[in-house]
Amino acid sequence: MSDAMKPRSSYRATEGPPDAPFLGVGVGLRTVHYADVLERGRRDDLGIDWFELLSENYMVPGGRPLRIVSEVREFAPVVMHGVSLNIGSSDPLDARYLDELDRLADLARPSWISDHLCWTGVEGRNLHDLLPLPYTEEAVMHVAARVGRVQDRLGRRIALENVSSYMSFVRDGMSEWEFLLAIAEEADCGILLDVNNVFVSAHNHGFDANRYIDSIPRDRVFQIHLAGHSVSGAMLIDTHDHPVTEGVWNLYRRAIERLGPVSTLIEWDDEIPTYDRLIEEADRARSILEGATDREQAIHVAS
Amino acid sequence: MSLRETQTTIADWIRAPEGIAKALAEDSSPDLAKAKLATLIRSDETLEARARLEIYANAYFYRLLGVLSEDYEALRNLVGEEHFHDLVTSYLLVEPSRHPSLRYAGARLPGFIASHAAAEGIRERAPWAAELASFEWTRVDVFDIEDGEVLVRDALAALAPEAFGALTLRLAPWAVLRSFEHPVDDLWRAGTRDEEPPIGVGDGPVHMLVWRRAERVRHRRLEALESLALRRVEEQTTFAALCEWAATQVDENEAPALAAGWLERWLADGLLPASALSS
Repeated sequence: MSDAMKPRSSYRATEGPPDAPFLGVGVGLRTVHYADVLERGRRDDLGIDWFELLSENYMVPGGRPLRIVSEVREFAPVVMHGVSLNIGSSDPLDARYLDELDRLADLARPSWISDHLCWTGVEGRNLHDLLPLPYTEEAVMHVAARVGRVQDRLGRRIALENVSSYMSFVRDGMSEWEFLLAIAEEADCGILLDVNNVFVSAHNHGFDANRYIDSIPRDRVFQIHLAGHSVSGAMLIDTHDHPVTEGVWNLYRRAIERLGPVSTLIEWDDEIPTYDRLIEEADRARSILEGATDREQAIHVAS
Repeated sequence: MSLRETQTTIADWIRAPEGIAKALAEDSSPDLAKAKLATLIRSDETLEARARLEIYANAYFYRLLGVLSEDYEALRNLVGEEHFHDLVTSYLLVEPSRHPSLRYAGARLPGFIASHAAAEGIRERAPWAAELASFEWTRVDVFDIEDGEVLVRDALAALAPEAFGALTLRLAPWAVLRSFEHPVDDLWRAGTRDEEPPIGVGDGPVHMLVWRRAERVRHRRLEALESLALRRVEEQTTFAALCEWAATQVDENEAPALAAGWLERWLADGLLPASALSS
């Protein structure tokens, strides 16, 4: 990492995965912000430390999307985040998709690649949604074996994100966090801890969000996601169209106090605000990261 | 129930065109279907299983409707929201998305409108709908079609006059020629500007050029002769051969100027690849 690409603050990263360097606070790269990003990037005033690319948006033959990736990559680290790996499906893995993902990685040179712990389609038909899996031993072994094949194909470990969910299975034999950890251990992959998704799913299924957060080991966490959600009747829906809620900020603070600094991303994909407003949201995450670092340093000095 | 059966069952419910409740009621064995749901998805005091699944079913349809509404903005505005909604419902039943990216979900809509029995209603109401959809999809495709270096006028300045005739003319991948029976450009303009569709649509062939320049998709209607000339370029020709062909179409004395005028315009539009010079 060149000096220009170092995080803006002097956080102290502790015991994270060796293949997921601490990047600071990032935001999703969105079309409406391209002009701001390029203009600010060229004068080294991005206001954030890194970008997350939605992989599928850039898995195209040419045109503006690929030019933007090349330009952004000149002044900021990026990570690639996919929605269609379909890692939990009972369909065979899509070799063509993996080839295209690999090709994009050659261009984007991401710090890491992530997708979701879910299934998105079956029988070759894509539902374009992040559907939960039954939390069973069968599913653990099925997904872990597939993660292994993906990691072999890409030549790197990937991170899997916990999804927001609105349904669960009668035959679930373990908690969601036990399921996530079992796969991460079995496949030796990373975790993208989406704190908003923990909050949303905890509400929708009635489990303890704190217990979930407290169970996640630092050495598996590549990254954290923060986002806003919506209320729909008795349920919370992961819409990414609002600011991060206070409940999610509190949960994030708890996660950072436990885990220490983790690369954190603000997701805002619908009703997208101005780039400056996004930076404000990122700054709040930054202050929590810095608070955790100060505390760790104080403890270190005191001992 | 195996993971496979779990997923195919849920996917069928989510894709049901009129919601989960109706899908369960209209199942060949409604009681069995309801029992299957009860043993598969958990109900609790917050929400019953059917309503939980319904969240996914709604998200599925409206996500795809949203994407198709963007890809086919003009068609949607001209046929109206309600008809477009019905069109997408029947389209997704026949042509579910099979690509990992939503970008390609609408790829088969023009063909569906043109020939599927379920699209008969829209064909009757809007005979131009399939062609307008095809035109809009061409614009979607050209947006992120393969890149390459554009042949610029200055690059030709170095050519000796006698070398000009041998210049290879080839259409760049980012320039696409399409012919229609309906004035898709007028329809598109009306549909994207919220105007009334043009009167007297379907009066004869309309030759369109759709291309990308400076990352923006553009289109223009071609005169018949320029369209034929560009078809020859699409198949690859030389400037001399183009002049010779032009001489068979117009007065022999006017042919060189006509061909030179075309070349000038194609260079200005950025329709030719720089690689043509090295051929």
